[in-house]
Amino acid sequence: MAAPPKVDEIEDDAGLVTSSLTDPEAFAQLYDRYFDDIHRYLAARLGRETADDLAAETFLIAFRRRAAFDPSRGTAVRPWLYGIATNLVSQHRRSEQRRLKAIGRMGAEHSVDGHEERATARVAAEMLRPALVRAMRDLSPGERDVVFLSALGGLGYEDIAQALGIPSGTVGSRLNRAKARLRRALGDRTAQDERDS
Amino acid sequence: MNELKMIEQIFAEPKAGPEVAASGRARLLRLANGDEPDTSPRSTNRRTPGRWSPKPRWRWVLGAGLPPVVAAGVAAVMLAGNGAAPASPTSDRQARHILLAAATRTAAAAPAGRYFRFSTEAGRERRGSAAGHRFRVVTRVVEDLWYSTSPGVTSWESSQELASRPATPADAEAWRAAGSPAWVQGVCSQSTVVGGSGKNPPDGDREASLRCQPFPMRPRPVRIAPLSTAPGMMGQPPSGLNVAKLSDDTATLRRQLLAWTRSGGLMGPVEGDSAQLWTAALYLIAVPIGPVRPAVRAAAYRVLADLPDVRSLGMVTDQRGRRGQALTRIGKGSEGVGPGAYRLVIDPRTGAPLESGMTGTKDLEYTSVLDFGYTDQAPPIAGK
Repeated sequence: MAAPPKVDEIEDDAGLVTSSLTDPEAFAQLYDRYFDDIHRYLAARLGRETADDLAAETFLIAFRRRAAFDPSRGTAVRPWLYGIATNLVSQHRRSEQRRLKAIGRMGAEHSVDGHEERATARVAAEMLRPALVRAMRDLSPGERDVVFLSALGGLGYEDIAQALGIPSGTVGSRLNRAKARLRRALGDRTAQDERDS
Repeated sequence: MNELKMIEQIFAEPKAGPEVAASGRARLLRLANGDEPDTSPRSTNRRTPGRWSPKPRWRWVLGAGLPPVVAAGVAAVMLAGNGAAPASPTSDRQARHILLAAATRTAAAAPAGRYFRFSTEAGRERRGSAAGHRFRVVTRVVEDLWYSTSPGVTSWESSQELASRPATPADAEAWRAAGSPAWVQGVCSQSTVVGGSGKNPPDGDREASLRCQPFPMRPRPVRIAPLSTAPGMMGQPPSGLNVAKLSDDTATLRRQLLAWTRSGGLMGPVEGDSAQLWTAALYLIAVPIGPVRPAVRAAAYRVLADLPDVRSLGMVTDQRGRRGQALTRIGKGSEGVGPGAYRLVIDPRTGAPLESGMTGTKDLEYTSVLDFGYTDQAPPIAGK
């Protein structure tokens, strides 16, 4: 009699979602793989404390909805999770606005600090923080979603499209528009610095 | 430096502490284990009583749609209406607890003995006619299998058709009115497919013609023969399922069973992990397929305990009048199984299977497990 076929020990993401329908604990492997990513994204958008709650909530929601996850439609797990996290952000717009204000103020205080790291990229970002944060506040929520998914999630056009449930062409146009605005804000700030110096 | 990189630099926060990650993981596992009520208003999979028919289901119905080997070996039984209704989180946890307790009790059995015995009674409701009278009876066949655990020692099988039993007092009266004949001609439609979903009847749907054969109203002689060792034959594992290599680790067993079912092991197209695992686990628990070690049998119970859609029906009385805990899973036509409530009845004291089967839309079909386990007794048929 033939032995049962060997089974791969490491399941891919979609396989884990499928497995979790009958083996719910399999979903914990997805948590282990992506909790830090989702937490990082949420912490950037809403602050660390809120992210501590919502990162776990993202996985609880995903677990409850796992039966509706359909890899046959080309959906990948990672953008699916980011999509759920982004939905949670949209339910916390006031927290997001508070965070944006706080980050902007913090930048103004910290931007004159630093000595030996003055030339580093981080300090460059710190110097430009108020202008960038202001520009981020001025973006539409949809544009901000695209910027954060790209910058903090590292998602490409297709993944962002999946996460937000919008066409990838829309992702492209949103991202281009947002980047142009951010560049303009930076340009203004840079020009201001040059005039001040 | 581009804009997005600067956004990342400005907004990035330190990663979550290990206690935060661990706390979230624990919440997820509690939810996965059914220990945390699903209280989210966004939940899409919460069951509500409204999804279940409030009507009691008292009918005797046919267990169509099981893969052939299961159709031959696994019972289809009557569901007593109101016990089948609810699927609350409480009943889910109850089902899990019952199955895990059965696993614990099963694992405690010693896997030793000269023989592994598995004895069943299979019943099926049929329509018959005699002398112008029509009535329904339940035909019953007892199979008693003795698997030798010693190399070179013969395994034995005995089978006996018992007297068919009129389904109701009215059927008994009709049979008596026909002159209480010893044999009754079966009445059936040759076009009726038994054992298939209706869309893709699997191989082996010979029951449609078998049901038109005459059936006895008196006990038939016991037939004794050496047990066939050919794969897939009565008493043997279905093709591709190597019982000796099955793991007693739940996760590994689940993967092994899915690997088997996904490679066509069920012989009929059964879709979905839950439907496949329910069927596959029942092979190990309630079907005579040879000696299944208690630890593997226990793991099969745990596989069932992990299924998300197994519900407890509470205590029921089986066809033999025994009391047991009943578990059910609703099979859907889209899964390639006969739509209806599949049921497994377990003796809560020992973890032994008492009965398994399903309700569909037609006649009763059941198999009761009369006896099973390792024994040092000699089969009563071995000396013949």
